[in-house]
Amino acid sequence: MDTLPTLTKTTVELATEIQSLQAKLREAEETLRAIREGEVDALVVSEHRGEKVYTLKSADRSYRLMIEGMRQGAVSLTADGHVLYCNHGFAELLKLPLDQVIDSQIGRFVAPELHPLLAALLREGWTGGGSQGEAVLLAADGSRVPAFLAFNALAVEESVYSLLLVVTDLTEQKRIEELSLLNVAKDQFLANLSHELRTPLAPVMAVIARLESDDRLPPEVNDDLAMIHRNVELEARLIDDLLDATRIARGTLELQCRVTDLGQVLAQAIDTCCAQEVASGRRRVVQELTAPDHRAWADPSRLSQVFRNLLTNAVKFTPEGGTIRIRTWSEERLLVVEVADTGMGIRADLLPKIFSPFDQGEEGTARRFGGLGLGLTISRAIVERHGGILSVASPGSGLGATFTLRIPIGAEVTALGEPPEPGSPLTAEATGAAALPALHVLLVEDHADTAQAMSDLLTALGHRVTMVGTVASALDAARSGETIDFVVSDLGLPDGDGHDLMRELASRHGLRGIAMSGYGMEEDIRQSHEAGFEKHLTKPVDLEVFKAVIRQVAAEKK
Amino acid sequence: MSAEKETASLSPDARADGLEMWDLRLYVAGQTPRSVAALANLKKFCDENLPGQYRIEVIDLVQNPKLAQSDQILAIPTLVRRLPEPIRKIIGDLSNSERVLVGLDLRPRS
Repeated sequence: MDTLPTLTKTTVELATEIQSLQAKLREAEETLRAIREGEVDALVVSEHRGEKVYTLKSADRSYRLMIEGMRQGAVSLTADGHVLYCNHGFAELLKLPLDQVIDSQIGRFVAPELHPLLAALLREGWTGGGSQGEAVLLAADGSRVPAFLAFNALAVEESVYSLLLVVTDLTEQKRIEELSLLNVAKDQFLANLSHELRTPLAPVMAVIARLESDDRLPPEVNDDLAMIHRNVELEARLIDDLLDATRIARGTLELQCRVTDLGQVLAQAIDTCCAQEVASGRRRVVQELTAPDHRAWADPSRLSQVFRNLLTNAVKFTPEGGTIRIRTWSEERLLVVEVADTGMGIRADLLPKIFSPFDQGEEGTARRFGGLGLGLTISRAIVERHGGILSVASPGSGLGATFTLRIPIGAEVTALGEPPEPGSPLTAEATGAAALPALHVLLVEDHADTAQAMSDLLTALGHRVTMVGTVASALDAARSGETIDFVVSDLGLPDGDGHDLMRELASRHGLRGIAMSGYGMEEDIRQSHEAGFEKHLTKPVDLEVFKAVIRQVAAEKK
Repeated sequence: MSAEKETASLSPDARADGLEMWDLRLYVAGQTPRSVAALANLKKFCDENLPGQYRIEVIDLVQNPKLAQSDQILAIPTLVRRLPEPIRKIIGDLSNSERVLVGLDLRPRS
């Protein structure tokens, strides 16, 4: 039996071996199961230099990173407000280390007067499928942090719920809200201020106009009068700029658009602003208005304001001997107007700010050149309201500046604003007016642009217009024997006063009329009524009111 | 080897009679969620099933990767029962206490 012990031993050995193999297999299976079921999140890998541990970045790791990285506070709570976990965002909001927040009652961090609110939010969050509200948190440094709280009950695992709180810091938002309130108050103040500043100028200007036409005054005072006139007008313009700026800020800048020949408007602006330069030869003024078509759907007086702004700037900032070049050309469906000068130019770093309100480029400019720094802000806003662009370029300080205005023309004109199209309000009213009798209107206005605008409007409404610019020619028209239904008259006329004209027209010819005036104070309105005007409209005239008055007169004639 | 075989076949009741200490080693990888969960589950399990007769050694393989060799650790977390012998390993976060009972031979395999 020599082989028997060997056999027995072999059997024992085999049994042991099998047992050991079974244990290894079990371990391997167990490892696979654990990995498969997600119970493992790191592996040890034997590498050349020894063991290395690799953690598995599981899907929820990205959520953890997100929650840690987000600026909001994320807190998980028990139903009664005990903090189980919070992210760094929440701890930072409270200016506390993380471990001093976790395991605390959330109420510790909420202003005491808001505890009833907090309790309600917790209750609703837990039972009512979510709750939210604004509260004030108390930070460790004693500061109060306005915050938005949103509670939600979440099923973390099957039948295990946790209350999740997301906290948004409202400090910045509250600050912006306060600032915007302040801003509204500022705009309101500026609007009131400019109105109050403008009011006393009206009678002064009326008196100046009267004195200037008074032959009894000695000629020596003419220069003084002219100086007073110039300066009062300058002041009025500055205040108007301020008014415009407040209108832009509040979005109440209104345009009175019609088909306008901008070439003509530009040429007039050049005459006004550069005539002296041309006459004196101090600065060279070059005009190349070569665009084939200058017509655009535009507000002529507003664009004239833009041109005058650009031109006075060019004159102001160009030293004697310099050149101001004004060009126009067409680009696709745009009219381009360029005003280039060889003046002091604009530093590259100041270019982007040049259209900001109250910005005047380099420091000291305001002291040297005066002004409020509103012209370009207003100009750009006006151009943008026309669907155009106003841009600036300058190679640098001392190297001149070029302002370029692009405004839609041609086909774009009809796409913009409210040009007269079939079915548009203007046409509809014109049709409506056609049902009413046509009026013959005597329009007395010495300001050519205004006269043209009113005349265009009346014609569009189906009426006939006789345009005159002086008291004398108005009286002539009345005496001509042609029937006049209605008078629309300016008050400050070159050869007299609109009040006197109306008295004459009413008493001698039985005419009715309305007054248009730059002045709209109670006293002005009373004077107009005394003179026999049925209505006193303040310039810029509200066209809707104007149309309503005309409609009423026409209806009465019927 | 025969002793090991005997121990392995002992019933939990028989084991509870003795006062032998359980020497457990938990291999973790820093503060990974499964590592943290495994430690919490293990503590709870031992307090319930082995009150006063266990010792847990936590080995962080992130700090000491070499220590993986002695128990041939592959996946983390892994629990190793050093004592009583034989050595047993349970892989995973120990969230299923039934499986832990079986794995530690506190309940016979089905």
